[in-house]
Amino acid sequence: MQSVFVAGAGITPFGKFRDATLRSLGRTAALAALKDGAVAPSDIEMIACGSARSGMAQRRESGVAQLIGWELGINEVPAYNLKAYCASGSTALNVAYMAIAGGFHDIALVVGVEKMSGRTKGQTLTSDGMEAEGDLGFTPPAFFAASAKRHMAEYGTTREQLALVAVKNRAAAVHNPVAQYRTPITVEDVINSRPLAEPLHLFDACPTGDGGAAVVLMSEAAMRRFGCWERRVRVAASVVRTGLYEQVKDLTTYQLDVRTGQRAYEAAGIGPADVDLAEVHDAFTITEIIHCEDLGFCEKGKGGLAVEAGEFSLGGRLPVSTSGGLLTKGHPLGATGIAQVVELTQQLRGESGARQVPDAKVGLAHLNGGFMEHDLATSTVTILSR
Amino acid sequence: MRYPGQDALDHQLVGGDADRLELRASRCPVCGRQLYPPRELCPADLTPLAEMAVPPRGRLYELVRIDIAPDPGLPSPYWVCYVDFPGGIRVFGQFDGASGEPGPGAELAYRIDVVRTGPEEVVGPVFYVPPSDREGEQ
Repeated sequence: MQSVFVAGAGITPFGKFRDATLRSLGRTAALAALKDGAVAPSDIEMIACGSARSGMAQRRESGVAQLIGWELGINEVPAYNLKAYCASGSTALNVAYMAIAGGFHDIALVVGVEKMSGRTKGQTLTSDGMEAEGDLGFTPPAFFAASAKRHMAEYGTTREQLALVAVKNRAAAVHNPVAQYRTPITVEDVINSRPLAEPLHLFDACPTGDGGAAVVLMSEAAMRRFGCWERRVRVAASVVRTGLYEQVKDLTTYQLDVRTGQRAYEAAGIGPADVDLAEVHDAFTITEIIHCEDLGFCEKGKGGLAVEAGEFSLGGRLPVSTSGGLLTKGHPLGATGIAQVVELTQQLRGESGARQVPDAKVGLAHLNGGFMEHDLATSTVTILSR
Repeated sequence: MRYPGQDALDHQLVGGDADRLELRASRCPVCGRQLYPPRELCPADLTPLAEMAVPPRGRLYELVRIDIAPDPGLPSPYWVCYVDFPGGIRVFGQFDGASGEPGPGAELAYRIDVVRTGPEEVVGPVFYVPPSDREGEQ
């Protein structure tokens, strides 16, 4: 198995853009990644693309990777379209990672893209496979509100600690020019925002939106050939797993994430204490707290206290969601997994300006995807290092 | 119109008429594992599963009030819950908020009732605090 590196990274602004399309978002992000890696479209040997709702929202169920290749003049290459709910982008990254690690290719373009605004009114985004529960009133906020209530009851996590996650991530997004929301907020703003599913309010939840993100992955030989070696960022682990599908379980922890994280740490030869910064699936304030616990960033049940103490803030012990996270940078589903890798790449290169984590050497990205039988359907953990 | 999930919900219901409908789960005749929603093969040993009715009463894992309904077919607010049953299955359903505000561990019963209104009603499980328990609280 050969080592895999990020040679180029690019991202579009995240937000709601009436005139944006899958084509324009994917093209813009991919061009930025190609430029960053100083490679030409003709150098690309394969494309992998993650887009969760291209069919439902944009009437393009298949062929988003082909579309982006066509836009950029990348012809006669294998193209892979990955759909794994919110983890579509990170799953696409995994496919390209395996192709290069396995020696089948030396240069891959990975794109994550989603256009969610402007879809037909009344089209809910409830996970595929949850139609029956959806008719009963299931929504993702309901699932995670149940997690929040259990976490608060069992570990004493407070409403203010939940709100502080949103405040923290917004404070980071202030310094991220591509973030969807960049105005600072307070704990009171979060608590006084519109209730969704108690205890979660509107500012406890990530927005929907549009966006694209892309990276160019390379083997060591290609990195040297294209002059990218000096600013290399290595993909130390890329792990994708499906759910455990437990029936009666504790919703204050997601065991699938615990196991996926352990597998990724083993692959990278590191532990949680070695991680300098992380991007996690903070679709809701409570989920960042639980993911940080499940990934070993703090003791089980102490995530709320760690947030309150500033341990996961910029300048803290282990900054989490330095991009602003899903909560404030935004969550165009298929784009998010690649956007996390773009953020970590820029951080590890020391290119993140006011939100730079000093001397960052190891970054971790985590995402869940979908629901299945009251459990999460998939989990991905990617570790980058320099 | 029919909501997209009614077929899946129909698959979870057994019985003749609406008054006698029950929730259906699956049980493995070899390893005894119980599964909900019902499915065809045991994921542990791929044995064809037998049908079983979900027991009439379970215990509340957690109750959530949803303040903003995702579409007009649901009231605002409404309640949903996760209920755990003997044998190891968990069921998601609506909760009848008028029946009380139970805490985790409370015993709940269920009925098959209208869960969405609209051009074509959808029926599914609605959990509630049994009347005898309500009297006991007072």
